Amino acid sequence: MTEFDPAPTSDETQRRWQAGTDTFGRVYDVVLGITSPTPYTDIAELADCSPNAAKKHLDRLAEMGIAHANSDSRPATYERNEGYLEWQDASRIAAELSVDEILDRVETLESQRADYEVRFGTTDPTDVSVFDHGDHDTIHERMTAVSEWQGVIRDIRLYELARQLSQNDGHLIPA
Amino acid sequence: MSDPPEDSTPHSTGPPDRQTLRLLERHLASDSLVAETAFEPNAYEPRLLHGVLAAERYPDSVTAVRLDIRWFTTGDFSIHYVEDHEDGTRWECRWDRHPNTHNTRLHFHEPPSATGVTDLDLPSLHPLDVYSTVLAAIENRLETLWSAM
Repeated sequence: MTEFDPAPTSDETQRRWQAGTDTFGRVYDVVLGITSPTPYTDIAELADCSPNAAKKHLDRLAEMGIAHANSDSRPATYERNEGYLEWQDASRIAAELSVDEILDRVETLESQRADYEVRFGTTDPTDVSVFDHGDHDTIHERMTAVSEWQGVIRDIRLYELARQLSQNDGHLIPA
Repeated sequence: MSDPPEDSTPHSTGPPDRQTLRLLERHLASDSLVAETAFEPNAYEPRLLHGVLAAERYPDSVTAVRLDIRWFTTGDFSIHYVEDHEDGTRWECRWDRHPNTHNTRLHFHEPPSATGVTDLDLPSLHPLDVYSTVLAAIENRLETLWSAM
């Protein structure tokens, strides 16, 4: 049996995700995975299109609120717009779950949060050291637990936003 | 470029990256190698992305295949590939990115038991490129399995 290669390289396999998508779709998907300001020329490379096409689509995504543009830097940089995407997540929850279901979820998450606080002896997950352990399995176990704890805290906030949206008929501000 | 900021070894971690997990779910769900996807604990609180691979693409001796993906807002990730075999054995490996005391932040847990760890180098850390590399490696594994028949 041949040895397993964790990072095979060939043009054909490198960009498997691009199959069947048009340029706009590729630029959109690339920017959804970008969390720090990135020059549009680099985004063009990731999306396998011309810099001009990437910039045109990125400007459109910025107008739609999905991307955040920094036009003052040269070249202009873009990243996903976390605030917009969070609102979209909350909006989806508000549309699909009832206020009672949301409150139930929050109650469950609050009890999970309390369990983590007891387990790690602090209310702040960033206090917990995760990576300073020699044992790899321990690092993994702690990384998963502390990350899920942070996820619990964030999801409680997201459900709170969803509850507001739901109680205001989908609006952030009461009519 | 799109690489997450390489800060001086953070001592803690961040929450799951909801948007990246959703993006990867969308692509996994449309991949011919994937039969089914699910979020744990649920779609409203995506923390772990679970992909069930199409068993009919594998020889009969392989009974179940799955891919478990965690992606963190720090840009760290863990992608775990597991094959269950008819004889009760497992064949597994893991693509990981996280600080540790003995390997590079980006490293690979070697099959068949995922215990041996080697440093790993990838041309791009964009989630979609990492995804493509992992799926390509799995395709190669499939070929190896069939040719060993």
